Amino acid sequence: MTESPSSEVTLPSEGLSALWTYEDWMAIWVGALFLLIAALTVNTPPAPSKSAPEKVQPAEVANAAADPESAEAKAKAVEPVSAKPPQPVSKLQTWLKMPSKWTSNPLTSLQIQKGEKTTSLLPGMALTGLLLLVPFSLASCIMGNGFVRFIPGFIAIWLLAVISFVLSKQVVVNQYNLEYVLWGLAVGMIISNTVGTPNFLKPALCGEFYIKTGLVLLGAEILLGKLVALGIPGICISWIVTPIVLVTTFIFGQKILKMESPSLNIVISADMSVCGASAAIATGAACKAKKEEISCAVGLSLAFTAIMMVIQPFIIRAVQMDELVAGAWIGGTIDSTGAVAAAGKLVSTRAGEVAVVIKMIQNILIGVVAFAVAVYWTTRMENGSSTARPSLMEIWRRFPKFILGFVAASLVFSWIAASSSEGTALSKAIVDVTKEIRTWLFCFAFVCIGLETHFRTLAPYFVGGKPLVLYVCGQSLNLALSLFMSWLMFGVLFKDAVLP
Amino acid sequence: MNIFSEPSRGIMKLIASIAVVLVIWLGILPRVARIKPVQAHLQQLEDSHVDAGVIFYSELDPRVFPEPDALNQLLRERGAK
Repeated sequence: MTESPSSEVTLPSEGLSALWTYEDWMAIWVGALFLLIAALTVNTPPAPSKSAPEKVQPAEVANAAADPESAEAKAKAVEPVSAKPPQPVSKLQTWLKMPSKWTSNPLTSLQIQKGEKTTSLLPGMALTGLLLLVPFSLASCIMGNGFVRFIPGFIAIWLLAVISFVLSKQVVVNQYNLEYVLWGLAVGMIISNTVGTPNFLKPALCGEFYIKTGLVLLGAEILLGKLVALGIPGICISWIVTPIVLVTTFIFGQKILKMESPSLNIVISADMSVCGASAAIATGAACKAKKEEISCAVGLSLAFTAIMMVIQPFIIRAVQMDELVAGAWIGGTIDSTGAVAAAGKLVSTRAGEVAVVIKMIQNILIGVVAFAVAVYWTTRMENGSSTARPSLMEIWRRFPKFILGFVAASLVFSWIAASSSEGTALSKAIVDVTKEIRTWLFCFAFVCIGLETHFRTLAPYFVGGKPLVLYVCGQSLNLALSLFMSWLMFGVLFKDAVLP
Repeated sequence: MNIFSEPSRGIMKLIASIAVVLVIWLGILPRVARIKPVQAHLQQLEDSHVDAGVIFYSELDPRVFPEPDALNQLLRERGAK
């Protein structure tokens, strides 16, 4: 995301100093630091004693699973066949907090009820802010943007992020998947479009830096082994339909709609075909889209998600669609992950399970999509009118380096998770911490984007309605192709066959 | 004639925006949450461990994912029929 068009982006200085003065590299170091801190605080509890609890017979589990609606089945399905060893947990996980859900009193979102006892979440949220403040203020100092003047701005952004989380956690807002990124943007825009962004905030307004660091952490959550979850049907529904829809929508936007901004075109195509806000953030950063373009794409995606998560289950029930076909269709088409889980559950438990697995595979695909977009943009789109291929050195100079951290985190954590069951547990313990940090960083980023966005700068993106037409046409193709592939997989080929 | 200076107009717009937010979040949304069908839907999501507000699969409750081999179990049952 840049203030200027991508062709005018300030590229890093050559030489080793770029490693600590260029934001992309700094995002990798700060992201790696958080991953390291999380790893160092992981504690594996001692092994269980020999007197393990009574084993549940496998036959009982199978019988219970056959009737998934019964409470007994649910209890047995969750209960392990034999006592599991204690799972490693990071000590930090118990400290990092964010506001919880609330219904009528927003103050209740700042506390948590444990039995009779009510605990305030504010100390945990303040600690999370402090954990983020220290590395980011140091990074700001190292990059030459000042240390002391960064702190008051950062504290104010943290406060605005808390307000954004509280707004997003109201139960009605939450159930329609109107995520914190939207409220972060809205809170920032209310300030910038009324009293203006105060000067003391400006040193901490580094939305791009927060996003890039958040994406390095997101890389650790992209476990490539999960790409083959659900076997061939999962591959066909996610691996085939998603890239077809992404590429076709991009070409449609460029050739038919003749969209002025290719970066807006690819960000909308990615958030619509892959997985909503997280895909918009990742591809937007990979192609150096303007902040207004990411805001526009996220807004479109959330608006249509709220509509589709209500209408799609209604249509499915009206036509009495098979629950596996329905689950796969919902997972392949509704943008946001939480909305997929909610819409799937509205159909049936099994549909919800298939839907979340399909969406999980699409989530993993954003690693591949962001990398491919970064490569395509540096080799083709940033070449302007020149027909000559840029040199390798030039490609390297233009390449968004933080993508290397994003991919490296994904590869390392995929390897750790695939190595053994201990590795899986270790990667989960680390990610349980870093996903909280990543969520805060994305919220900070959208608060910053809002604080730097004026309504009049957003207006040109909606003139002529091209983004809306692109989204509607792309989503229509996605709905048709996903429905066909879901029917082919779960309605014909694997209708009653065991998955390979 | 404009009786307010630029900064005071900004402050008034900010106060008006905050008032709109307060009316929606403290007045309208809590009332919507108390409507019976909405309440039932929220309870259903709560019972199913679904958080509709998450943006990535790793934030979902592990209980919303199928048990290993649960889908195969269902397909086997369909084949046996």
